[in-house]
Formats: sequence, structure tokens, C-alpha cells
Amino acid sequence: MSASPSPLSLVFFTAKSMLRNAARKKLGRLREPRYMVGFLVGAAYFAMLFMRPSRAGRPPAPPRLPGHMDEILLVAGAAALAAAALLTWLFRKGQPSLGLSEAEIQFLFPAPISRRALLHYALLKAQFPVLLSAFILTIVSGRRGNGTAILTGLGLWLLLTAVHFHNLALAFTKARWNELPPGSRRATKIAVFAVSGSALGMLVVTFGAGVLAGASGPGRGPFASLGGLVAVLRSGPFGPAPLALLAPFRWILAPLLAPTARAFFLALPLALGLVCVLYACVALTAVRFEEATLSQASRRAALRARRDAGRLEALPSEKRRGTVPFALAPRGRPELAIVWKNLLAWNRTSLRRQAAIVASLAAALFSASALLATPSADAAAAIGSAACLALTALLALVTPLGFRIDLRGDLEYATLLRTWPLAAERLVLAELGAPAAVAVLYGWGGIAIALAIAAGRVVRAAFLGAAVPPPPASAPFLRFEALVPICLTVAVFLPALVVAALVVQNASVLAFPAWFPAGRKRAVGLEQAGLRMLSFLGTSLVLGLALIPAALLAGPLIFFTFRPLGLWCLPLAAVLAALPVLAEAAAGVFLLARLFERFDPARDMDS
Amino acid sequence: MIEVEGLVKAYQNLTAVDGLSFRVARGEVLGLVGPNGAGKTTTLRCLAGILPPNAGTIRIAGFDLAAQPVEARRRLAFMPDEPRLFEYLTVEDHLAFTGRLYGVGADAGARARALLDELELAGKERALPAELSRGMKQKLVVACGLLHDPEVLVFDEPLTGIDPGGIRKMKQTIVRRAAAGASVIVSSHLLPLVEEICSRVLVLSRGKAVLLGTLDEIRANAGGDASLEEIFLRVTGGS
Repeated sequence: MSASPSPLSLVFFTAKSMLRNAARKKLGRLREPRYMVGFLVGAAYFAMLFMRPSRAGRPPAPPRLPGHMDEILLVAGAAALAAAALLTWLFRKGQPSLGLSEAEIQFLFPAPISRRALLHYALLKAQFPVLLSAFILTIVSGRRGNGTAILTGLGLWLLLTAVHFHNLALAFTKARWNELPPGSRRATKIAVFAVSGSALGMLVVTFGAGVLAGASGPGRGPFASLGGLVAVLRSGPFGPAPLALLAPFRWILAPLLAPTARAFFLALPLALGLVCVLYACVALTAVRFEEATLSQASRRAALRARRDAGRLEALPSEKRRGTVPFALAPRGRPELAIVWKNLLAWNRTSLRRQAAIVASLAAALFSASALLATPSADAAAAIGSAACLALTALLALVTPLGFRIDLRGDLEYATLLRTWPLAAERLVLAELGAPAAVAVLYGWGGIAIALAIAAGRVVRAAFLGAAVPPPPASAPFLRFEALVPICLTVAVFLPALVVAALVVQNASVLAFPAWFPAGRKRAVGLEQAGLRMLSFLGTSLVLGLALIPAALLAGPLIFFTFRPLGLWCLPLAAVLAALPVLAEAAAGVFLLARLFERFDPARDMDS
Repeated sequence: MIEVEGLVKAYQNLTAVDGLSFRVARGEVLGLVGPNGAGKTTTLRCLAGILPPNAGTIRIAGFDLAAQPVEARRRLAFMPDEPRLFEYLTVEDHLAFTGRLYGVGADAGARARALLDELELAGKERALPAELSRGMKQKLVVACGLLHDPEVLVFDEPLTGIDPGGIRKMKQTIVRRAAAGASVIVSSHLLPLVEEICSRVLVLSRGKAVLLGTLDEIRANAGGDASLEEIFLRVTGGS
């Protein structure tokens, strides 16, 4: 009989197989033109993103911090880390899960390998995300003072490994406590709670006292210099205890924050020692991990299934399941049922309740705006309302495109949609209803809030007699008299624009299902990122072209009526401009209906 | 009533259904059987209006599926082999949605409750599809299908994933609907089920009808008291 395989060989075998198969699959897909084009676009984008600084030669090293700031960073970081660790000891439950997948459990748990080997397998496997995170964080953070990215990466790897081992040791230890007799268990928990709570309280009080001393005393406060900071930690109400408490956290952070390579290597032994101690805690704690591992694997699988289906959020609670956007009467136009269904796909919440929230927010902001008496209140209100308007218009246009609560999402159910007793045009129109309603209602809500903020100042001026000072000369549109026609313009044109954008997006999926896949599932990968960019560019281009007739109609109207009507010509122009856009959208709906009739679920959904 | 005349459905290099003709009268249950790849699911999908046929006509309750698709679909219920449910709708949401979609009217709620009782889904009104077993999902699809009291019922492997008690209920449901005047097609690999509940049988092989008739007619043509399984294996070339 052969010896049991080593955990290392198992990890390398599974990692090698997974990477090889993933690479094969990705490379195989690149034979298809759409994936190749998507890959090239995505790769070009990311290359541009990452290599931009090197165009001028070697990337510049980030500026080095002054020496004392490195130390301050180390102490502050250690304090934050200590607080996080103490909080986990206070509140985190002991779920001794090894973090294995359902497949790994199925194959490894009944396999003839020891528990120790299984634990080592899990620890080694966890090193892949740890290394990947360290790599990404190194790229994102850039090189620090220690001179090389490798040392920064090593420092990050040490820190993340220590955090992983610590969390596992904590879970194992707490799980062990659960195996104690009830009396001992309670006593242990109380003792640990008291110790952790006291330590956390000591840190908070020490730093709080330092901040207060700095705020009340002369000079820059204790945290502006290392001496001041260390003095607070040494001579605070608890003496040198806080500094001693932070020691292990300083050790593990020191390599990462080392200002030079020499400092890195000097700090390395202590950090490695700490990691070894944590490893020993994990390896020497005998605990039953099977149930927790299985339970976590099931939860992860369920989460992955939801994510694959395009739903990141958890299932709604029992209480929320009774909430619907609006009551769906059993009689009436079937289109409304589709809008209702798609609104539920977006969010299980009542439209009436959301309207009440928006109204309350508008009322609160109106009151605040009317009651504020500070000198800068007028400028703040004007800028606030203008910003609210701009943000609303942007969000109203962009968010429904991302939700895919329309035909793009429902094509996943194309076989079912085909059996519904609805003409294709009516079905398409109903499918566009939910995202259009969300965008328009939220857009109008935002406009109402913008107007409420501005109206508050006007009401204050009218009833409390305070003069509304003129806005800055550079921004005449911030006047309330200007804001009203601008808001009306946005309110009138927004629905047409939203519907047109939705038609274009849905048409791209229906016309080119092989290129822009249907369904709510969000595919990942460089080639998919490239395809999404192409879709965005295509949509922008088509939408831009669709707006030309609107501009041709509205432009002359504004030109001829601006002088007599002022900004009030804009809402009129918006009405005129909305007409051709709506006509184009109607033609688009007709086109979408034909595309939907031609859509073959068997052929077009396979990809 | 279902009337199919000269139905042809071809994919790129495969004719899945080749000149198929049959009728299912009111109150009749037609069993559609055949080996894997015989064209059963394609036939049913054409009947449900999911796949447009390349040739031939399909009439559902007197309405031509190509010329009057909405009227035809209003009278039809298709229960696929793989239940497709909206994962964000609860059981009661699915029924409310279907009721409005098919214009069931004011008694939709009462009908939904009766169906939930009949199909043993009572108490699961607030459950989401992710919390239902495969069999329960299948039952919910059937409940949605029966809600508008369709004249034509098309079942594709209706018993997959259902427990023995559920199987008995499902068989009763199918027979009861036929007795009430519905035209029913049941596609299944379970030949005993077909023998038990179907009044006529259509055996498909490579897209063509190789046998069509009542069980007695089929047995008589086969010359003896052979079981449906023996006849099926003989005509489809199975071992």
C-alpha cells in the first residue's frame, strides 16, 4: 500500500490542474472572434491603465515619508490592528471552518489522509488568495521606502498570513471553549471578554486622552511627533501597558512599513517568529472542524450560485417577502404584471414607501435650507441643489442600464416568455417599463429634492425678510429662477432619453447575442471587460446619433426664443426634442419585437 | 383540441421533427414517447410557441399558432421538463404574476390557493425558488400552468424529481384535467406512466411518428399482448 500523499503535493496538483484547465478554456475561447476582439480591447485598456506612468521612463518612486512619520504610521497601524484583533476576540464566533469547497470536502474528508494533513492542505490552499491579495495590494500601493516591490509584497504577505492564522486560531480556540462543560465555558468566556474589553478600553482611553491633550494644549498635539506619541503611550493613565500591548502588532507591521531594506531584514525575524507562533496555535489546537467546514462550503456554494445568477444580495427575509412594489390587481393589462415582476427583480420594496422617503427627504432639506442662518448657507444651498440635479440626471441615465431588469435579463427565460399570451411589441414595451420607471421616478425625485433645497432659501427670503444674495457671477444658473426651468427641462427630457438608451442597450443584446450575452449573469475575464467596453462605446455612439434630430429641432427653437423667454425656452425645447427621441424609441421597440421573434433560445443562449 | 399537420423543425444539419401530424381531442391524454433525440422536446416546444417550425401548421383550441399566437397561447399551458422560475419571486408572487398575465380575473387568489392545496404546496407561499426542492419547483410550474384553466396542457417529463406521493397526485391532476375536457400531451420516458394515464400513444423516432393509436390498437398491430415497453423497443430499434 502506498503512503498518503503530502498536503503540499495535493495543493499543487489541484492548483496546477485548475490553472491549466482555466488557461485552456480561456485560450480556446479566444479562437472565437468576439472573444479575441474583447480580449484585445480589454488588454489594451488595462495596459494603458498600468503602463501610463512608465511612458516617461522608469516609474517614479513614491515620495518617502519623514523618518518620524514612518514610526507614527507603525504605531498607529499597530493600534488599529490591535483594536481589530480585540474586537474579533470580543464578538467573533468560533466557527472552525477550514475554508474548503464542497468538492474538496467530498474528496478529501473520506480520503485516507490524516486530520493534520487536511489542516495543512487548507492552510496551504489559503496561501493562494493571500499571495494574490499581497500582489494586488503591492501593485496598487506602489513601492514604499524600502526600495523594492518584492519587500513590500513580502511584508504584505507576512501581515495577511498572520491575520489568517490569527483568525483561524481564534475560531479554533473558541470552538474548543464550546466543548467545555457549561460552567467552565461561561467562566472562560467572561474572563476573555473582560480581558479583551479592558485592553480595548485601555487603547481607546489612551489615544482619546492624547487627542484631548493635543486639542487643548499649545502646539501641534502629541501625534505630530514620535516623541509625543510614545509619551502618550508610556505616560498615559495606564503607564507603559499600551505600548507593551502593541508590541506584537508592531512586529508584524514593521517589515511592511520598514523605510529601508536593512530595516526590513532587521524586522523580519520577529515577524516570522510571530507567524510561527500563530501557526503553532492553529496546528496544536485539536478541534472538530468538519461540521463548520461543511456548513461554510454550503453557504459559499449558495452565494456563488446567486452570484452566477446575477444576484449578489442575500435572499430577502421572511418579513420582506410580503413587500411588493405595488399591489398587483388580478385584472388589468398584463404588461403591468411584467413591470411588477421586474421591479421585484430590482428590489423588494414598496414604491409608495420609496416615494414617502423621497418626500420626507425633500421636506427635511427644504426645512434645513429655510432655517439655516449661516452666511454660507445660500451658496451651500445653491451648490447643493445644482449638484443634486446633476447627480440625479447622471444616475437616472446610468443605473437602469446596469440593472438589466428588462429584456436583457429576461432573455434567460426566453422559453418561458415565448409562451406568454402577449404580442411581441407589447412584451418588449412591458419589459422596458421597470427600468424606465425606476430611472424616471428616481430622476424626478432627485429633481424635487434639488428644487426643495433651492425653494427653502426663497421662502426664507420671502417670509423672514432675509435678502438672498446673488450667486457667483461664474454660475448664474444657481439662481432659483434659473433652477426651475432647468429642472423642468431635465424632467421633461429624461423619460425620452432613458427609454432611448434602454432600447439601444436591449437591441445590442438581441441583435448580437453572441457578442453581448443575455441574462443577469455577469461574466468575468479580460475579454468580457473588453466586450462591455465595446457595448458601452456602441451604445454611446448610437445614442449620440439618435439625439441629432432632437438637437436639430431644439437648437433653432432655443436660438429664436432665448431672448424673449430666457431660460424658460429650455423646457419648451425639451418637449420638442423629446418628440423625435420618443419616435425613434417607438421604432426601436418595433425593431426589438422583430429581433425577439427571431431570437432562438437554443441557439442564442448557448453562448 | 390540438391539431398538428406536417410539422417540420430543422436545425442547421439536423431535422429534429420531420413531417409530424396528429390530433389530440378534448378529454384525451396523448402519451409522447421515443428514445433520446427522437424529437419529443422539440415537438413540444413548437407546440408551445417557443420554437417556430420550418413547415406545417399547429392549431391550439382552434387557433393557428402562427397566425393568432396570442389567442392560442392564452389557451395553452406548457410545463417544461426543467422548471424555470424567477428566482426573485416567491411562490405566491409567481401565481399572482401568472394570474394577471393570463387575465384569470378576480378569483385568481382562490384558484391559486386551491392549486397550492391540490399540489401540496400550501404553507410554502412565501418561499423563494432557491428554497424549494426540485419536485416542489415542478409542482409550482404546474400550479402556474393550471391557474388559467387552459384547454390544452403540454407536459414534458412531468414526474421528474417528484416523490411517490407527489407522483400519484400529479397523475390524478392530469387525468382530472382531461376528464374536465382539456386536451393533454404527456411526454415521458416512463412507459408505465404512459400506459396508466394516456388514452393514446405516439411513438417518435428520428423525428417521425412510428406508432400512433390507442394502447389496444398498438398492441393489436403488434400482434399479441406485448407490453408497451416491448413494442417501444421493437419499433425504435432498441435492444
